[in-house]
Amino acid sequence: MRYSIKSNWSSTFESLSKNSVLFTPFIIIAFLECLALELFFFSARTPLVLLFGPIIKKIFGEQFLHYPGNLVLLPRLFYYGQIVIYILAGAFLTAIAVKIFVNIRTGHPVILKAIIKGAGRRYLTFVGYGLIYIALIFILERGEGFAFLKFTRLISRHLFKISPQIYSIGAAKLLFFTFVIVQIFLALTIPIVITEKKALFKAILGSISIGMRHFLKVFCLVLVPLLLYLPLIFMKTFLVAIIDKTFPDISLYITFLGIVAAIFIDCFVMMSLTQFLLDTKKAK
Amino acid sequence: MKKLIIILALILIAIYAGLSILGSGGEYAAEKIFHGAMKKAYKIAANPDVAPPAQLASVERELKLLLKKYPNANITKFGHIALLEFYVNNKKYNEAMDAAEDISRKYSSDAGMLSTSQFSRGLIYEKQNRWNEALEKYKILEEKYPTTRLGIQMPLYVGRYYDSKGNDKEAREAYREAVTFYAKMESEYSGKMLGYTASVLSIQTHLSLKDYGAAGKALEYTLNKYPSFASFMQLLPLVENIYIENLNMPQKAVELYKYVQSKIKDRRILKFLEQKIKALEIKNK
Repeated sequence: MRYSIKSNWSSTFESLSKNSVLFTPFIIIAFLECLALELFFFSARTPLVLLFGPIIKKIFGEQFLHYPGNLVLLPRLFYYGQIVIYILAGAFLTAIAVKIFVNIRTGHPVILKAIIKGAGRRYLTFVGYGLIYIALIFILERGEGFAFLKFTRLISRHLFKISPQIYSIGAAKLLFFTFVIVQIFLALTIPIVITEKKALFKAILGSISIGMRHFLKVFCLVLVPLLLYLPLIFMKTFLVAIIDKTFPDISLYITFLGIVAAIFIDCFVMMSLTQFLLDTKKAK
Repeated sequence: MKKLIIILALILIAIYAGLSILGSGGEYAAEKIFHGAMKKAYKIAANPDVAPPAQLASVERELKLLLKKYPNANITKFGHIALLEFYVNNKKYNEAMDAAEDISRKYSSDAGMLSTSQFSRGLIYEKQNRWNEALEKYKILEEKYPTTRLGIQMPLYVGRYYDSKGNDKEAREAYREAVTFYAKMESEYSGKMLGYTASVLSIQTHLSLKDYGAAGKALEYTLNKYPSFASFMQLLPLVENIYIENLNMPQKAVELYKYVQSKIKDRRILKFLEQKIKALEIKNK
């Protein structure tokens, strides 16, 4: 099948610019993430320290309850918060956005109440998907991290020394590509659940199958917009150095920037993938 | 859509403002001032001669603000010490002496802070080449606060001062006094952290005296008396220094390495020791 990625992007872009309602679920995700970020940002101060203090002290150590240690820890805490938000609400809200997009593209009316109700009936499916998605990323991250560490150690021992900076950049890039690869094979699950009303595991298999059959196309659709995340990923990788060169609160701003960027990037990726799914179905 | 964004943004702003107000003041705010001042102080310390006067004044102002605004915060203790060090480093000796007095007054029941204040007084005199007055302060520190981190180091410190000035006779005398002091401290606090510290300082004093035989005995004693991973990590380099490099007794080094091997479980250290032993045994053959 010949497929124009350019026309996919232009029609997705057009849909998004004409129907700002598509952003609504992603704005709500961003709101929840901002809320989590605020709570973590204030977790070392009264009164939240009463709640977070003992947990942070036990898991990460006393130094992360004091300025500026708490701001070094902030992105990590936020990452854990993001995982919880994604499982409990992120996947569900993404499904709502996909349904809105499908209705717009297929000429059906967009009745938010009905869409939310419909997605709500399959809430557990989305929670299940969120769990599988996060577990897979976690396992791959650990596995790849371990393999990368062994590989770089081998190179350092036998060929040339790898500096910690190069190692950090390599590890960050690897994590990014893990994320992209998982997206290629799993990101179509939600659009399949919505458009084909399939059960979770069948939808996952469908997504993997499309990912394999149209690897390059899906790869492009996922990778190019996600490349916009790279500067943020590098900023997070070298956060301690950035804090040292600037000021500790920059950690909050970098994380906040990531949340704002996600509204547009995640929305665009998901809608272009849904558009791709609709186009492939039409071609059949 | 716009309405939704505005409502959500307002909720976030309200929560941020509320938490900011509730969390204002207290430890966190004090830590923030301290961190800001220290960051500037480190920059100055890297090149104190070219530090602009405005930057110097700003460090002093911020530290004083911390002491004034948050007198009871935990970090303020370090703020006092930082201000004192700042004055010493910038040769403001009168102000440094006042800061040391302040510490003694404010923390009159804190032996650690009192010993810091006492040491700083000695250091201020030492920096002004008034060694006799400095020595007087150091002796008081040694006598009054022998169980503090600074107090216990004083005998060796004095010996090293003489050494650095090339006063061999005074240095040897000070080191001998230090050996007696550390032996007394070790027996008084035997089996405790302080006893271990005294024991390590005793080894260092013997090394300063270049009495490697006595240093070796003290090292062996310490390894046997305080067998822990941390103590082995601190003392293992001394095995090489004393028994291989200075006494030329590789068999003794092998014996001690084997002893440490029998006491630890860390695989990397075990491997390291195995390599050391192998290398020494090949060399001996």
